[in-house]
Amino acid sequence: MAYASGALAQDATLQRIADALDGGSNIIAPRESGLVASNAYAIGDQFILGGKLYKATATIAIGDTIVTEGVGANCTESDSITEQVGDTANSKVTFTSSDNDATTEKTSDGFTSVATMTSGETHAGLFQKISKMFLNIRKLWNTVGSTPLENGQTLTSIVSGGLTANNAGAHNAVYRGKSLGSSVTSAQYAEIDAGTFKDLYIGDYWTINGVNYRIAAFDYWLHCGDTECTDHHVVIVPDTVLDTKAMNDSNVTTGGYVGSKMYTTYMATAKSTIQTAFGSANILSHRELFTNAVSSDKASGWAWYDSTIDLMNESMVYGHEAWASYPQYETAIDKGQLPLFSLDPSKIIAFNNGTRAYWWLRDVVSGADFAFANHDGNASNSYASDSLCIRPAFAIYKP
Amino acid sequence: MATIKFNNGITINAEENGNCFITDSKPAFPSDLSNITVTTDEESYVIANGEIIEAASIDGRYWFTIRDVPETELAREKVDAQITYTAIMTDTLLEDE
Repeated sequence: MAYASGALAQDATLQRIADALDGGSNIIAPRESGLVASNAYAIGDQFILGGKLYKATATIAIGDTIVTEGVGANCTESDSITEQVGDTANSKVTFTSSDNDATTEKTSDGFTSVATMTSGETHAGLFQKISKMFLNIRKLWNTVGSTPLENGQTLTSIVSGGLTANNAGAHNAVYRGKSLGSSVTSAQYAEIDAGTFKDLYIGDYWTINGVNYRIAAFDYWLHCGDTECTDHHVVIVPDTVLDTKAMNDSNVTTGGYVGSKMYTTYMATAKSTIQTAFGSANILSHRELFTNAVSSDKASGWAWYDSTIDLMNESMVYGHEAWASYPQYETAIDKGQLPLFSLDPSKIIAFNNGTRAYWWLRDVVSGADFAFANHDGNASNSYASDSLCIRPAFAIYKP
Repeated sequence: MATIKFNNGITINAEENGNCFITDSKPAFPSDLSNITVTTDEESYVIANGEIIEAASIDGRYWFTIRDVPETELAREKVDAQITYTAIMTDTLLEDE
């Protein structure tokens, strides 16, 4: 068995193929059994010696000594697969394809199971598996759609964060309950200011000075007020109460909420706690209709006031008035249940040092009573001079 | 601003907020509080049987609202007064409710 070299390389290749088909030599290169060349090689010709593929760096004649390294080396180890098998750009393979771009195929339910690819498989087998996976990709693409995901969202973030658009309406409908850290970041204030509220959801909370301040609503007061509220905002309610005080020093409701000592004096500590936590400049001031007169055991007057941090009414907590003596005056612009309490009613329960608390609401119940949220979850009322807890609501915004 | 005109012709000008009226000091209200005409920037309406309700003040001025007492409440007050008068005249002791 002898192979030509140089100008006769093509004939030599044909000879190698013929040998391979005949069960003889390797199709890639002739084999040498020892360091004495049994074939002649031109520069660049390849041969196999000791299980390794070599390439002649000098002309090697039959009978020459093959020197693989050091002084007088006439060959070097060849490790380029391209040199071994050549360019496969135009190679073809025959296989059974599972790929199909037909609508009926790519819209069909289910994942087409594909066995794992393993070493040693034939090209036909590999390509068949690849074609099945391509069909799966077509199904996935058909499911996901061709529209780019919004605002850099990933499928994972959408699934974990809810299928939401970034606006108040959508975010008011999704409860998440995630810790947002110990302060409101500038990026979060930017989202609030834009009204997009990205990565802010109902139930999310900041823990500041030991108090969980939880997101209760987005843009609850937007466009309300005798002077319109135009700032996007996030309404916040603390999980725990901030103080304990009476509504009045005696059992009267004279002057309604505005006439109460709670409104004029007793909220000071709670307000200070909140202002310290968020900074006074970040607390939204908006206009509220509060009761300011009571007659015949009922609220009978209301007016617009600036409001920053105030007690909630029954509507905000329960979604309706319960004990209010004159619901029309009590409801005012706070006419809907805060999403926090509708999506997770357990959050209506507030705690005071680990114990369920009784906390005031601002609704006038009679000439002697105001409404409050009972520790056991029921809507109730109590004498104005009783000391119950203070759990106000407020909103933050970017000034 | 609102103008409140009473049945005897007395007129009070007041700032309006909600259903409240605000004056710098407490006005001298007439005893006849029927047929009070209130005219605001947006509307004009009549209160048939008024009752002055003092509201909480947050600024040192006088805040009040005028409640329109329903006919049913007036009728009950009238009946209660008649019962009380009759009891007094007949020396009858009325039991508490």
